[in-house]
Amino acid sequence: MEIDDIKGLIELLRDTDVTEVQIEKNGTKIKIKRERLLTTIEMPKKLIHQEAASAVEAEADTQHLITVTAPLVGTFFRSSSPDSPPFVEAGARVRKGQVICIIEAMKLMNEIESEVDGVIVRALVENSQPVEYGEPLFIIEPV
Amino acid sequence: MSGRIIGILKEAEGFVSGAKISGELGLTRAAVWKRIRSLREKGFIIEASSGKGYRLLSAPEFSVEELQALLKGRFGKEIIFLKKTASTNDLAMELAQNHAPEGTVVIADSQTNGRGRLGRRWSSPQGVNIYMSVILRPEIAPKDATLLTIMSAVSVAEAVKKTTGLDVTIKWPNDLIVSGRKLGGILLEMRSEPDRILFAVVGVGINVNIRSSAFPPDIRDIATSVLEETGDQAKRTTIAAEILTGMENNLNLLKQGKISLLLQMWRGLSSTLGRDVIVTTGDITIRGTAEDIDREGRLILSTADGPLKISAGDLTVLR
Repeated sequence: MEIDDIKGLIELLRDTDVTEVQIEKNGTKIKIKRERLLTTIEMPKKLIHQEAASAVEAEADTQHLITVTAPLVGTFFRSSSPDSPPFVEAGARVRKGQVICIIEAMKLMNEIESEVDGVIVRALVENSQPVEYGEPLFIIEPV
Repeated sequence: MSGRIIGILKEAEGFVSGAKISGELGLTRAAVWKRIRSLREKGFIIEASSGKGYRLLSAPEFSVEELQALLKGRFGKEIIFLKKTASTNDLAMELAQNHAPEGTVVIADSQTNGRGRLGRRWSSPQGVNIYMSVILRPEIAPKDATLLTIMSAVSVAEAVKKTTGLDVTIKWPNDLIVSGRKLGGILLEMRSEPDRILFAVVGVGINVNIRSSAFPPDIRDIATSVLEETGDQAKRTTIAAEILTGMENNLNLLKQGKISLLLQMWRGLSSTLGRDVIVTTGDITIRGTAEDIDREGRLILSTADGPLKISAGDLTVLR
């Protein structure tokens, strides 16, 4: 392959998605890799509108969900002791008044109850992590 | 009713006629006699003299009757005493959920599943120590609930100090320490809604008449008892009565908003402030100097990276 051939090849590939070219001459092996390079992100206006619309849709979907928040500052525990299984996992059914976690502050173990009958959609905090007042802990879908 | 008979006999410090007792309690003379007999079976030594009446010579080391006779307030109006239970806190939580009033007390002579923080075991052999849980229904916001820890620590430390003469101090937040060893601990459990506390249970464990040889080996070097420290047997009834009386008074202070006073009492009893400490919370270990507690009772630690507020963790005081 001559230098002009290579130049020609580069010229040829300039406005394409091709990011890698491998050429083996005698065995005639050619490998072309195409990749979308996103150096700058210009989102078409249409797409933005679509995203906004779907966000609104998602919000409407989650309006009936209940977020359980921390009533006090402390350490979040998902079980009553390190050897015990968690009170609840994502996907678990809970009854109103059922203990779903403990927040400890100064040797005061605050057992947090579910306010509704429902299903745990998401558990948002890892075991033994500090939580702030009002921090979301669980998302529950009432049943 | 038997508690009231003991109350009358204790107050009289001499003979009280059967007629007087039956008149005060609205019982027949025969009913009074029946109760005296059952009190004797429980270990009370009551002298009976025809013409003079009854006289209390001695009370057993622990009895609900004498405890109730010593309590003048609302706390202890209802006392549930059990020879053996899994955990007084568990039972008290269950009673609280079933609408037991504030001041209801659960006491056990032994616990099969006595526990501390994070389900840790609390050694609870029979007949020697105090295992007691008290139901509270404080009308304060959940975010102020940590003041219950401060309030109960002050109440228990003061009471043990007063009844035993020991130099009891508090290790943050609420361990009872004598001569650098643990004499007692307090575990609070609480149920709350976002804006109000439904109820709280204060569980108190105090090593009273246990010999250090009877402690499990793993805590023998870090635990102590009233007996080990004073050399004398102490009456669990007297200590428990003082704790309940103090806790009722201090809870009233909290309800009246006298928070700085309670914090000041805690500071006066603390052996943590001013010391270099290590706090372990979850996977994190922090070293610093214990400067003070804030308005919620959180520990203010000055560390190499600046001041930190600690709300939960295991604390070790460095020598």
